[in-house]
Amino acid sequence: MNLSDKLLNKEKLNDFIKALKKDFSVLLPVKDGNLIFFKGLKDGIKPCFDYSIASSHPLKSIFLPQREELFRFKIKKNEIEILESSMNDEKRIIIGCRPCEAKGLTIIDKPFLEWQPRDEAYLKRRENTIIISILCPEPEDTCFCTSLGYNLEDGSDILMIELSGCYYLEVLTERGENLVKDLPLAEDKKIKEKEKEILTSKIKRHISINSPIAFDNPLWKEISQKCLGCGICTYLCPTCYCFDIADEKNSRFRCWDSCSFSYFTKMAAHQPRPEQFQRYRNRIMHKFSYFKERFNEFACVGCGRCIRHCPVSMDIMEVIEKSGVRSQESGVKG
Amino acid sequence: MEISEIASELLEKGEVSLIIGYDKKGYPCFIKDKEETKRLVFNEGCFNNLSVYLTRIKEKCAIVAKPCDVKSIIGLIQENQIKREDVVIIGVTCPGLNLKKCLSCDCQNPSFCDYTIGEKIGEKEKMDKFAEIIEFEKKNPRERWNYFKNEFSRCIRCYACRQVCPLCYCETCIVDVSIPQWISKANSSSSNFIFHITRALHLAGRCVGCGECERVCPMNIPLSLLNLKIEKDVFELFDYTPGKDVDLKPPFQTFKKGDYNEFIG
Repeated sequence: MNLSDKLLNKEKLNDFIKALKKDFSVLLPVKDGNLIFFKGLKDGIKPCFDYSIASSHPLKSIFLPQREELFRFKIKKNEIEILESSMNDEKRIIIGCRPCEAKGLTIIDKPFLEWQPRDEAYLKRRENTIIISILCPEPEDTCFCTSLGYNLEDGSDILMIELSGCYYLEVLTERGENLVKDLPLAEDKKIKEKEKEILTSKIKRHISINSPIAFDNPLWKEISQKCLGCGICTYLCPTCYCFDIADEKNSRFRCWDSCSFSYFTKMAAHQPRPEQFQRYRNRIMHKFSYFKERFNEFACVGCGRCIRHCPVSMDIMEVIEKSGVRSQESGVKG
Repeated sequence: MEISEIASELLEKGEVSLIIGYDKKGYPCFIKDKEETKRLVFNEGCFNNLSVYLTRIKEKCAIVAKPCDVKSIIGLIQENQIKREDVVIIGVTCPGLNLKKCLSCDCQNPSFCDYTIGEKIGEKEKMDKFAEIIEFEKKNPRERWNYFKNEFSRCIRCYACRQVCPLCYCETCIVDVSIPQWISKANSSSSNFIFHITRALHLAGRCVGCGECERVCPMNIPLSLLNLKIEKDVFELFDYTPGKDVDLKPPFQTFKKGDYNEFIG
């Protein structure tokens, strides 16, 4: 099937969204004070597409909810009865996430869908959700997506680009194409490349992430000295996917967990990462070394949330740069 | 004298082995090397309350402290978490930063410090600290409950509020205990509520109002409002303000005959 780009007149945006609502549940970015959350389209809800760079929750939270019930159980004398949780198979469309967030999902796909056993609940949500991302209006100082070397189109079914008076819709998948069949063709295809170039040229921070980071480099202690061990960086990260499993009452659920927390990896007899620098090192190594070894890409999309929100202004880019340069100097590879 | 000169001298003489201060971006930085002390400054971007590091660092150190941060250092000494002689306090006069708490700040000039940097700042007109909570108290209990329920519903339980709090130094936090599970690990409206209320009550008579919890919250939860209510109650019931006088005993560490005890009946 040939995919062809379309144009959507800004005045027709509401009608377009309304039409989608017949077959899908539509999630849009909505302002709540200074925050931006993806909410279901209801009367009186006004979408906001020109929000500052990132939504307040990472997009992963729609696919890996912070708390998700796996099953319920009943304990009778010597028996346990398992009651399957029903999976939500609602068809959804997300409109207006940033391209880096859509890319983040393709990273989470790897451990959740490529590894066996596949995660059925996650798979179902991925299959049932169409993603229409929108090109960022302006990057922030903390953005560094271009350093990660992925395409802005990755992970989206349609990439929306705001032009004056209309949206350019770059159609990337068949299911995206089906949504926009009736819209007029975009004749001038050069315009999308130009807009992307303008945006990426505004991103100021560039680093090479290929340098080796040595596990036993004493630098880790120094660079993570400030870290207070909260979970902001991991919980707001579009690619951090660690979770915990717990039973409460008659329910077994999984919920987000963070390698920054002091009890993460704590076992009955042992805590392999007793100090904060080991936890911080794990996060960085996971993203830029372990994940790369297993899946041949970095588990980071350069959205900059962890830099913007860190209570003590830790900067992941500085860390990568520093550890890369110094470990090369000392010739240590890890 | 400049912060860097004092820091350099302290390291040179071996009085401390570490300086906790701010770099020119206003970010926390740790200096061990005399040559590096040039990086130390104080400016309008120095929001962090660095005293949170004092219970984490196990060496003799000097700390750059705004007058409001000195309050939590006092709190830590009162609660025997640090010894006065183990920390050198480099106080800075502070004209107020771009933070809400600065509008009602009652301390521009540091006290209790070993050094003071900056010109003395004259008395300024300030807002009544409790004005916001007095207004909030006018709402009925149901309205107040619903307000906080709604605010806490956004909590993602990243625990940044707890981690930046200088007085949240418990080795094991109640919310991290799994046997027994006092507070659910998963975020839900009710478990978030219990977590925040527990934390606020645990800080009763101890919270010095540095506002770090609210500043760092990625979900903009107005945690200071809750803390302020408790600060006001403690002031009215026990005539006590946390972080003011190192020689006083915090109200819940002592008992006086005239203490408020209506709740006992």
